[in-house]
Amino acid sequence: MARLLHEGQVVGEASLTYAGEQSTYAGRLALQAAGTLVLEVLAMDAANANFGHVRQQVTVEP
Amino acid sequence: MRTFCRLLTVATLAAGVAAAAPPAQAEAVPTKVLVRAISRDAKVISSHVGGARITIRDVATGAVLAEGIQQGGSGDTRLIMQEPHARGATVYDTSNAASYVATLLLERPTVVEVTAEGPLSAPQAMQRTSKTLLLVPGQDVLGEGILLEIHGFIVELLAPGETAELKVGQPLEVQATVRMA
Repeated sequence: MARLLHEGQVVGEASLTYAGEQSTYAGRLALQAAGTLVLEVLAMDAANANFGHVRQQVTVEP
Repeated sequence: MRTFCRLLTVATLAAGVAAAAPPAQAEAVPTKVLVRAISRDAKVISSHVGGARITIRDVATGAVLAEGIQQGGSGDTRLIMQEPHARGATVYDTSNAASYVATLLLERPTVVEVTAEGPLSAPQAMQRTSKTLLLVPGQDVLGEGILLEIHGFIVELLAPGETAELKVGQPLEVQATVRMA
């Protein structure tokens, strides 16, 4: 799952699906407002208590 | 009679000295301990992901008895991920499978805390786990070793790049890899 956060609040969200290469997933988010946001990708397997994430700051121009 | 009294006094003194004497110095016995950090629902934490930092502490004193990095391969995929695991069967102790081996000098049965932290090359995915157990001088722990299970995925962003130019109204293409540690 990919999420866009603005000041800690989720402002966009999309599922990532298998991209055809080993361990690789892809998806698309809509950019609806300009500003500095945080892109977060979450991987989740609650049955095994396995989770992972990565965050990156992105700047969206008007 | 006088001789008997002297002998008795000497014997009493000797007994007193013996009672007050410190116990003989305990002998430090080299004891090998193998530790293996593994991934939850996956394989051994290998050098490919930076390995895992292993620390062994004496619980009573807090002293670090050994510290190092687990290095090596991720183990046998068939044994770990595909075959049913029977009790006592070797699962992780295969050729080149990562582990950390320490030789501790133990003077007495010692409760230790063993900690694993990793994967070291993926700071965003690094986790720590530990367990305590009693070790006994001269009783080497080898083979499968002391297993420590680390949970989590390594998620790495492939796109967008850090310098990507993004504009309102355009779609943001996201691509990421998800790996077990």
